[in-house]
Amino acid sequence: MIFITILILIVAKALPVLNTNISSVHFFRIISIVFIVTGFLSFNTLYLETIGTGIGIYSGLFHVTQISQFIETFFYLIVGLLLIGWPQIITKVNKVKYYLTDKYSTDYSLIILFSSLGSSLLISSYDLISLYLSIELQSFGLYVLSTLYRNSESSTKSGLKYFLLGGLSSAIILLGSGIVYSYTGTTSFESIYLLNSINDLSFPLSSLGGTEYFLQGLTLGLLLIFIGFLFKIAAAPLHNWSPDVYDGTPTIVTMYLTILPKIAIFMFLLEITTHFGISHGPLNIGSFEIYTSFLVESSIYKLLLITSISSLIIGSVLGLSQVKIKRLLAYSTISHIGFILLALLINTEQSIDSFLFYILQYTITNLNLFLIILALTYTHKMNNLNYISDLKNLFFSNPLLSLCLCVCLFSMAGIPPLIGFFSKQFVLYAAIQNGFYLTAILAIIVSVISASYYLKIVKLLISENETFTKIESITENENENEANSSDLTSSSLSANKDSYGVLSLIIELTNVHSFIISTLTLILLLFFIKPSLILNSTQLLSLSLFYT
Amino acid sequence: MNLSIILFLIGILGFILNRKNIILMIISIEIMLLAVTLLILQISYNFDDNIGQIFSIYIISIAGAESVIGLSILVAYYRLRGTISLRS
Amino acid sequence: MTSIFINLLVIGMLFSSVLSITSKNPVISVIFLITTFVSAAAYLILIGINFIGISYIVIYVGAIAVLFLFVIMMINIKLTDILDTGYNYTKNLPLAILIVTLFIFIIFQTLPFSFNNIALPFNFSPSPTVSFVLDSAKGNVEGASSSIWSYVAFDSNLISNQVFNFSNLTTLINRSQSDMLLTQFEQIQVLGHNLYTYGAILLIELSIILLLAMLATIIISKNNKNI
Repeated sequence: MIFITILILIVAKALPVLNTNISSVHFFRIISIVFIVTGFLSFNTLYLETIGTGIGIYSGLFHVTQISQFIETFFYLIVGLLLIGWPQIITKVNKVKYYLTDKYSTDYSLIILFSSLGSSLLISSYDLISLYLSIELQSFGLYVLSTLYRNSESSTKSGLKYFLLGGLSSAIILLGSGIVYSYTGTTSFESIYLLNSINDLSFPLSSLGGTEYFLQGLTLGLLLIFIGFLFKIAAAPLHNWSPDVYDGTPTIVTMYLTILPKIAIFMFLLEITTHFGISHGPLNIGSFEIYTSFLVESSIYKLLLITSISSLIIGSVLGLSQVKIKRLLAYSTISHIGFILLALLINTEQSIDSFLFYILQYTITNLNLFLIILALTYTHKMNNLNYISDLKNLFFSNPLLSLCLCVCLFSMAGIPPLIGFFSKQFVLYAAIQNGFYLTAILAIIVSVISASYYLKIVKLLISENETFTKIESITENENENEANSSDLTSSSLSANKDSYGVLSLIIELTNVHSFIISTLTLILLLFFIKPSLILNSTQLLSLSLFYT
Repeated sequence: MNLSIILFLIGILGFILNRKNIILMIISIEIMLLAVTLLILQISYNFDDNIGQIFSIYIISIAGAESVIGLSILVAYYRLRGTISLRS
Repeated sequence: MTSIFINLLVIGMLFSSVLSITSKNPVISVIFLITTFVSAAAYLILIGINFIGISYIVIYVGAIAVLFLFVIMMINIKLTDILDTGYNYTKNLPLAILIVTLFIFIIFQTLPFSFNNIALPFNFSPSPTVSFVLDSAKGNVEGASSSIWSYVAFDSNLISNQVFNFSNLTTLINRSQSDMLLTQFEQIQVLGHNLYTYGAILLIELSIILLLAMLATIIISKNNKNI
């Protein structure tokens, strides 16, 4: 499966290098089609329904389970959708349309190919070496991506910062995996799980005499690996780089940076934590020997708890004082990461269910939000939509688009009929059911706080009290899809009628772009009508993780 | 193992103390990678396991790629700013 | 004799790495980096890992250090820009002390100071007084039979009898046994065999990474006029 992916990607990669004359629009479309086809392939090549635990491929270096397969399919689809978001600049000379795009666009899509290849490998990696290689492949792509606009100062500066801190964190990951290797003598995860479970029963290693050192070393190494990964996803005590980097990079790069690498890293963390059975393993058997062998689980559990709580708090409290929109989104990302980590550390069937569902919801919402911001940026001929106050009064100039933006923000804040509410509810439900009362209360308070800054944007957007208009839009039907998108394009066209010069530059949204925005918004809106599709699939996946 | 941990510590110190000189930061990342490689090599020698040696080969080449990318980003940064200090 | 030499090399490595992160001129620090790499390579060759030691010299000294020097020469830093590095050090000194103590505390609390590698408890109980820089050179002191290092000096094969105590554990946990079967090969042969059979997909992935690095430098440093 992955090999087919690699082949397709390499072929697609070899295309632009050989002939750069190919139109970049076509290039984009080719690559996004490639991604969608790859998603289909990864869904379809291996029939895993009968094999519960998944199979290892490439001599055990990678391991495909149902969850990783599902997430990979989802991942490719999202990347394919994301690539379409690149705007087209249509030059009208004597009423003949010429499609131009940005000159960086081919490079952008090319590097996205590399980086998403790395993250899809990371999702299913099952060995310390393959883990390190795929995380490096992914993050090299990201460094280059954030430096891609090499003529803008902020972009290179943030790229440099991202490179330095990312290099530090991958060195920490490497140190952790080196320590794990030096104490277990193996790099395969399966052997490490096996050793750990043998220690749980306190069976043979203690007779050999190395148990405590082994456990301490394993714990330290895993902690270092976790710290490195938490650094990479910008969880809270290690979050300082993320607002700067997200602010400095152009929006279309930020869209990639906030969404896709995080999915991959979260899936990997899920893999490790469920296999080590953090905090709800087969404990309480009664023998006191077991006490020592929970060193790994309990320490990772504490680490995750600390980062989750602090990223909840920091993400929402510091987000209150932001004036730039991308910094604000970075902080809201941090608070979402807090929720996801909370779901991860509870580690029961239900919480894993909510974990997967939260990731899906977060991805869809964030993608939609960034696509809308891009659309707003390009329709209004602003070079960059930097400050929140730029959004002022937007509702009257472009009502549909800002309506979509409102829906997105409400969903992120967790207003009931939208999808974001359900995901937060599931996480909190799992937390309360497992006795995390204090954390759950804290998360509720924090989500109220963070709702206030989403609502601040909405208030700015409308700026005269018309808050009730979007409530009616909840009852929109599926039929309005096409109408919605066509309305969008027409409105964006009408917004751009004031062209300048003889060679009139009109930046237009593509039809596909607006179609995606409207579809995603409708998904967010209409989720509560038929929730069983996504919910059942995530529930089945989490069950497949636990009962195999 | 102590050797490589101390070397790693030196790398982290060099990374943290040098807030201004970016070349030194990249150098200290290299030192950290070197430290981990030494650790893995020693341990793989003790275990008679050559997975560790293969791991170290990968790490060496990735370190090369990392320094290449870092230095090219640095050159792009220098071309715009005229300095290589991170904060000015 | 070998252990003395190894100790000297290790001390030199640490010393030159400290110098390389504290020197003011980046050229000098790159030269100390080269010294570090060369001494690490010599250390590896001395303890018996020949091929990787040599490839250290080839890759690090031949490629990376030259790359650093090239970049330093190319961007032509003004020395006045760097000369306040010393002030920078003293400014951040409390932070450094804090980090060092935290790091050492955490590492050596979980990993006891005398416990250097996992092979030791199977052979003999470690004594904490031997040189802490070099782990297993104590074998030369304790007696040749229990050490791996003395064995190394005679034979550079990858298998040794002394660590067979561990190998039952290894067979217990090692799922892919390809590396256990290849004992009669030479070192490079074993490496190559493992690279091209067991880890072939890793090699492909590594080549993709290198391709990305090549492409990245081209993209980033491409001149704007001739797009």
